[in-house]
Amino acid sequence: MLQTPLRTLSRHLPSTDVEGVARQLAAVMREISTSPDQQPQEAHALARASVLNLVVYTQDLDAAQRGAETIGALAGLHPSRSLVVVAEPAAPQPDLEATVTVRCQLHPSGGELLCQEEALLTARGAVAQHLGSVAVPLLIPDLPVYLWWVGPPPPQEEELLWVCHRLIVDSALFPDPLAQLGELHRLTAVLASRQRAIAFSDFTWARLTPWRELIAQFFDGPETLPYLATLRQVRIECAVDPGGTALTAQPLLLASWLAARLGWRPRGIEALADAREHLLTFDCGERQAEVRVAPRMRIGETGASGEVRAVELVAGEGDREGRFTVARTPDGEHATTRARLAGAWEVTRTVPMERASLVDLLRGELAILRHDRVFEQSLAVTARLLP
Amino acid sequence: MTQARTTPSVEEQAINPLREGLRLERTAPPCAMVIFGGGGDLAKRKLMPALYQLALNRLLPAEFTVLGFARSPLSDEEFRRTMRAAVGEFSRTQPLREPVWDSFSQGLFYLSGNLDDPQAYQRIAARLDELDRTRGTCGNRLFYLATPPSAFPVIVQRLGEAGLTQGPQPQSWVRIVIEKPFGRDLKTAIELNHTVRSVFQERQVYRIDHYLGKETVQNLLAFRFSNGLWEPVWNRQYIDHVQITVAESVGIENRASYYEEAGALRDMVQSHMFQLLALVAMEPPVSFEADTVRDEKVKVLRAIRPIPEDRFHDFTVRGQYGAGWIGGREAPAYRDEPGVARDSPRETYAALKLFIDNWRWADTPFYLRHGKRLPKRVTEVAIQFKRAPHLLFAESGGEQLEPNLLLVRIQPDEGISLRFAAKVPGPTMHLRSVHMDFLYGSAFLVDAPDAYERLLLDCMLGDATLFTRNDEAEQAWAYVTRLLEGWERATPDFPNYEAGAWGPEEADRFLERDGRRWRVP
Repeated sequence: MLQTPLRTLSRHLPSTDVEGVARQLAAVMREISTSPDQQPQEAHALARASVLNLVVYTQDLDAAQRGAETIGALAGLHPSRSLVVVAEPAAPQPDLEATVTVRCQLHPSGGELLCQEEALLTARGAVAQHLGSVAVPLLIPDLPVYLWWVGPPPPQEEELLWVCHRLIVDSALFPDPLAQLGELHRLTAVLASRQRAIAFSDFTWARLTPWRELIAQFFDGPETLPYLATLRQVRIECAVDPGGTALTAQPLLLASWLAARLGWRPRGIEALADAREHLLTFDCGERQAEVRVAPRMRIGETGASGEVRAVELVAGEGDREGRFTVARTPDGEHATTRARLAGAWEVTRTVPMERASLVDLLRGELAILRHDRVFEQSLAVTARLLP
Repeated sequence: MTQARTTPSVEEQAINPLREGLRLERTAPPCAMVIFGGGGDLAKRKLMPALYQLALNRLLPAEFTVLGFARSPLSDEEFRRTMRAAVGEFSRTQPLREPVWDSFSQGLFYLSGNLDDPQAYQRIAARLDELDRTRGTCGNRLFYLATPPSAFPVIVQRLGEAGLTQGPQPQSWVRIVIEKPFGRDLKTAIELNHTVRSVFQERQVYRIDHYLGKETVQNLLAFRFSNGLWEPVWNRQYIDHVQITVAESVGIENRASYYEEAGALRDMVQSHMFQLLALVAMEPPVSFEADTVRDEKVKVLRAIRPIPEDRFHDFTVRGQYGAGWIGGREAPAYRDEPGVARDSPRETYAALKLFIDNWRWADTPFYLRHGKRLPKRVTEVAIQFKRAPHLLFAESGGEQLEPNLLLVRIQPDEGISLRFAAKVPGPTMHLRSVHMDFLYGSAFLVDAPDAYERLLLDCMLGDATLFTRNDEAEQAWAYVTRLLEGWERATPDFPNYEAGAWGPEEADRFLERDGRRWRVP
């Protein structure tokens, strides 16, 4: 499905301004559409089939390259105009450097060229502080603007927040996930109070989607649904490198999601033993529930550190006990689930659960524009975990 | 995409709070599916691959269980092996994923017996109760009739006698899926409906027409009713006529005994094409729910003008293919296909001119055509708009300009295309027709689910929107039966088109008489 570009044209502008970038983009588009192998008599026109604008923000050139590659891989799926901004706010002189690239590929059915426009912008000095003024003239009007923010959450005063409709972060990159997920929650609140209806999303949250689906699926039937009301213990195992902590963004968000959906109120968070395990406690009406986040050494296994490996939910007691587990298989491509109702039945199964690549994750996020209220509510719970 | 949610059926009462906001909102509840004809072609080619795919996509619950029922004596293990071979061959995702299949197949069971043996149904009931206890299927049952249609009435009756039409618990549900053909004329359709309704309630009955499970067919609804642009021009004032084409390049492919009985009209027009027609012509439903949508569809079918007794010739063309060439390969004549009578009068091509007598469509013809062994496989709906009322540019190519056309392609290359006139750049006013294409596959590059996957899931979820209701089936049969009877009164001069041609010449003249011509897809 992903095709290599049929034609790519690039221009470098060492020191330029926004008008220069816009002119160059138009010129490259014209040039690519009139190259010799484009048949002039074809009734199908060159299509700038853009469905969105994408702005990538990073302070790291390597991350910018990775971002550009990811966008390139999506050219045929989400044709877009994208601006990849490398900010160097500490540079002494204000300056804008740009490389514009247009990649076109033939539509699978033939006849039509689908083109992807990209500007790699290095913003130095004061320019990096006023990125809104750089981005606005370069965006295609009437199309949604997605801001993919690489790094810790953006500051509340960031200008790009004023032009975007959806903010995408990856909380796995937050150095202090507990504090910075809280910051992200406060950002949602501040923007909402300013009437900026930005939808928030997080690649790490998206990585949890299959886990949430499999956990939710346990309780779809009338026989298992009542167990949710007596859910008392959750154990989340997380892959860690030797010396690392298991309390990463993934288990925090997963626990917060369960709490938010089940109406649990956070009581606190406690480090156990050697501070490698953590206990999250919640009030749920008359009773309490706890989520234990435990490390699992990542030796000779695939996948990233900080990733959830297994979840076990325990509800009820004695002959009313139900145990529900989801675990990633060592091959990294499947998950096994087991539901065991004491005195009744036990069912296990294996389903596919591949790790999503960055391309898959971005594709998923670009396909939706509406608010993910469940994510925002889960963030609110995470924020309340910190005393 | 039709993402509109339908209201949950009465059977789904309690809500799982963890479901909210999940992208996969539509996963099936625990249930047991009994496949009658469990070892047959449909089960092997369509049902089991679709179920396996749903399992791959994590859309089935772990408790999901299949009970195959057929005559040959097989053990559970032998049934699993047969199904594994079938899925290995027919699944749309290859290769088969062993760990997933192994765990999915643990939910496959088998019972052998005769379809008319009352004892067999007692054994089915006992086995289902046991599966409720051991696999948590919660008393929910889905009976799937994948047998030859002649067995439908007896299965339905036996299910009723065995008390299997109600679940064992108050909140459990029981549904029955009936494959087409639903009857072979109006009389048999009414009889079958009567039998089914004497045992099941209509809300338990799911008559499957896999055409409605296709993404683009559903997209027709989305396209019409979620865009404000089309509705104002979607009527006799602006539309000159509509052409619906279902062309197949294949012949009858070893289905001679079925096709000799059925023919093009029964096989395709009565079911699939009338469904397409109804979706194109229907009024906006008040909501996207099973009965509101089907109410509007049945109104269209009811409004089709009957053909006057002596004028079948003016409103229909039938054809049968002779030998010819398709795609560089020689194809035999229909009458030379194995199993076909040498003087068979069975039509392999049908073209109809229909009028829908209501305010929206009065006097706007709908041309339908379907044929086997046509030059290529294509299904499309072409909405031909009226010409611009006054041509400013007659001397600049304007007289050759085609009027606006909106084309909904259903297969292959699903998409929508709009044809309009534009000026050729330059100092003179030269005009050309250009196409604005929306290709489904380029905007949403996800694998579209197979129609059976969508429909099986809908059925488990209790959503009957994409299934045919009894009155729809009967209305369609009423029209088609009359036509069949009219045709039977005269002996056709067959064969009258070569394999690889766009049908009989008479079909072209048929439109030329109206000053129109068929599109070449």
